[in-house]
Amino acid sequence: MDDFELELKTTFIDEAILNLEEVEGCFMELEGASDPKDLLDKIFRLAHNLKGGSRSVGFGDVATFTHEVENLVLALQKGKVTLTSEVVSTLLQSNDRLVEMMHSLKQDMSATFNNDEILIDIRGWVEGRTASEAAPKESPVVAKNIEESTSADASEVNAHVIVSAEVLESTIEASSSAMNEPKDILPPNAASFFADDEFASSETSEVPGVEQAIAAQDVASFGLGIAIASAQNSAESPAKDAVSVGPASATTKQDLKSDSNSAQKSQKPQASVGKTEKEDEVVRVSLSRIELLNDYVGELIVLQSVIQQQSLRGDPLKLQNSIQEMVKLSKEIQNLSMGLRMLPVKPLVQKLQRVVRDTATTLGKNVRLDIQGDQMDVDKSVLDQLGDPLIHILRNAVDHGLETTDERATTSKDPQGVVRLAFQNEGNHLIVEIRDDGKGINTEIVRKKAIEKKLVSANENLTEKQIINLIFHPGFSTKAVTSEVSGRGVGMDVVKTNVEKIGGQVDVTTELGHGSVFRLKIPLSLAVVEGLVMATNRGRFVIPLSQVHETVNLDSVKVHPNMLGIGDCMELRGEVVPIFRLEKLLEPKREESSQKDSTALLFAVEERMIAVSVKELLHSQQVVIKPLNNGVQAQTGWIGSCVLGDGLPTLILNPVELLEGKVGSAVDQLERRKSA
Amino acid sequence: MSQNTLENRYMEFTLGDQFFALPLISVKEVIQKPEVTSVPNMPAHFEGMMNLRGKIIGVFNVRKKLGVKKLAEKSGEKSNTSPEVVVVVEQNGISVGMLVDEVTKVIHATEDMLKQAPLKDDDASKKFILNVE
Repeated sequence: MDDFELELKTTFIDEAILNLEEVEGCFMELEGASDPKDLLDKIFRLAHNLKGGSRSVGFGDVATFTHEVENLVLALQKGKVTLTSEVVSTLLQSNDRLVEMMHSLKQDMSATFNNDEILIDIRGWVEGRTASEAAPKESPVVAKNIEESTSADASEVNAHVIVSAEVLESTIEASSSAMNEPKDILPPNAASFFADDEFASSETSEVPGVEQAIAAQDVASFGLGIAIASAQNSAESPAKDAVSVGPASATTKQDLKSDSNSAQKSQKPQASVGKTEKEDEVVRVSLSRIELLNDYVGELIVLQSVIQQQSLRGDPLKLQNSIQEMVKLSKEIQNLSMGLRMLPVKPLVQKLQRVVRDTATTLGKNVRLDIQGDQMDVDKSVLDQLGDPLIHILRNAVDHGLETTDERATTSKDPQGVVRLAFQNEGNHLIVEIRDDGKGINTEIVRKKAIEKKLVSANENLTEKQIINLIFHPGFSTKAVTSEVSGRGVGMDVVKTNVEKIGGQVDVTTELGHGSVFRLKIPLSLAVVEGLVMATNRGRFVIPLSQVHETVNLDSVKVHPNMLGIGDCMELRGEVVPIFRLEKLLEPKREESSQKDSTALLFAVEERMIAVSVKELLHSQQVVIKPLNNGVQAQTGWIGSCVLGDGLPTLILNPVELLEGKVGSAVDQLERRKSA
Repeated sequence: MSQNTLENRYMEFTLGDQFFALPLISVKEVIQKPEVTSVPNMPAHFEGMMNLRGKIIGVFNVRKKLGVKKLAEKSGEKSNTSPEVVVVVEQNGISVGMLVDEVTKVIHATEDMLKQAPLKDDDASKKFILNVE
């Protein structure tokens, strides 16, 4: 394969994956659409592009498969097949399959595919049967023949092209309607195989056969493919460019298979897929943004030489002004370059829609997903971490939250359950709210289950909030039986871990009988944080300002040394707050210094106020988070590192994580003493 | 075989009064020891982290790791020991600083000049060391 061809194929695959994403969105919309005409037109166009494109670059299997999908879409367009959610399911499966094929092709350009199972379904719909009725007897043979014909020797295929070309000529007048006729697609030799079959008796059924032959020939002759594909385009209704070679496109790593329960495992590509290389991720950026960035950088260069000259001339006032200007300029540049990392949440939302739909279908529930604010942009690293938690929360909302349709009827609720997914900005944070109108979380059941699992003791006095937070405990599940959808008890744990990993918080509120709300508060960007710089006897550390609830001068409050055997505590507005020394938290085994800490930072951990004391607070500043991967292994409670104003590196800490596990026992003891 | 390939060249450095060498190909740069920030909960031979032009890398004290004594400690002289430098090595995209006493020279050694280390057959010692005069 020469470089040109390889590049053409790679571009095609990247583009196809993007297209398929768009198509998936269309399929999802189809289900609720009152007038699906425009959507179907769009899908048809996209499918057609894909078919033409795949054929011209020599992916015969893809073209063959897309053709069948296209037929089904045509049938829908013509109203021959009614649009039901089962049809949409088949379409979505086909879409998954195509995405899978694209990914396999990316690994191995010569991969071949066996799509029998989905093809049976698709043909079933086109022929007006239901998927389950689709005869298992004949279809594998058809598929086999397709395979044969696509890989057949050129002479045989050529012969068929000549023969079928006559047919094409004679029917070209009627072709636009005839070809749109939803008929079974049979390759030429299959047509003769089925000569006495009711499906293969008319001329029209042979016309699509031409396409099969052409498709097969394309495998052999790449150059010819374009011509034929475009000739075909003129024969069929929408005249479109057969080869769509667009700008290199972003590939989003969405493993659609993992979240679609209906994805058929038996349909693994035949190609051996061994994905070892880590792909460099790609982000799409508008040209205007880059131009703006270039402009600013240009200005920076000019300013730099200005400063150089001014420093030689020795006019401190002018120099100061220029430096001021440079500060402003570099802020602008920073904002812009950060903006390059911002991606729309829309593709993620699309994936989530799919998850809700699949979950609801598996469970036989009637669910509507309302979405608000999906036109937001979020930092890529945040977006990457957000997917899994949201999938788990939504699945939970559909499975545990919403009642079955029957149950809803008895409680006089709308039989259709509603899950609302809302994105909004709140200062420097992204708020994601998932609200369902289901039965809510029964705190009594959660409590019982937690006692059963020995997460809490039976006589423990817990607030409602604390009980609800038990659902985030690893291994916790109220479901008696583990189902395909949920019940293993890992989901909520993943939610909490992932969200906290990106510096966010999860908050759950629930009302029995009316539903629950999951609220995720996540910093919009991870790369730069406003940090509080502090000193301990073991050096300086940075803590993100957003996590600090309050700072207290320890001289101004009453500190009880080693109170009630749980360590130092302070009295703050009538509350007793335990104090942990930061240096002790970081290095429990090391001997503490005798020097007293001057300041305490207050953090909300597990709904309780906890103080962490440090030697002194230095200042607050914006810090750029740098990953710890060069010889320093990140540990619990470490977010990363940054460089302070004096050029020295410092660790950025997550005190909530540091405090985890230590707080419970101290506070429990405190409360026990209080009640005693 | 070319004499000047990077593969058979080694950078020689000292720890105390002993000589060691590193394959030159893994060495990125050698810099004066910068100020290093200590990191909690790390083994004793971990010196801390340093800022290498905006990239933060860990610095390991090779002398402590290998258990070689400082020159001054050994002879009982007053300190003002040998200058310390950081050798930045890179492997698999990860950069790490190695704190050594002094980099002395680059030596050339073909494979037949290397001798098996007189060490036991366990993992840590199963590597080549140069015989240095």
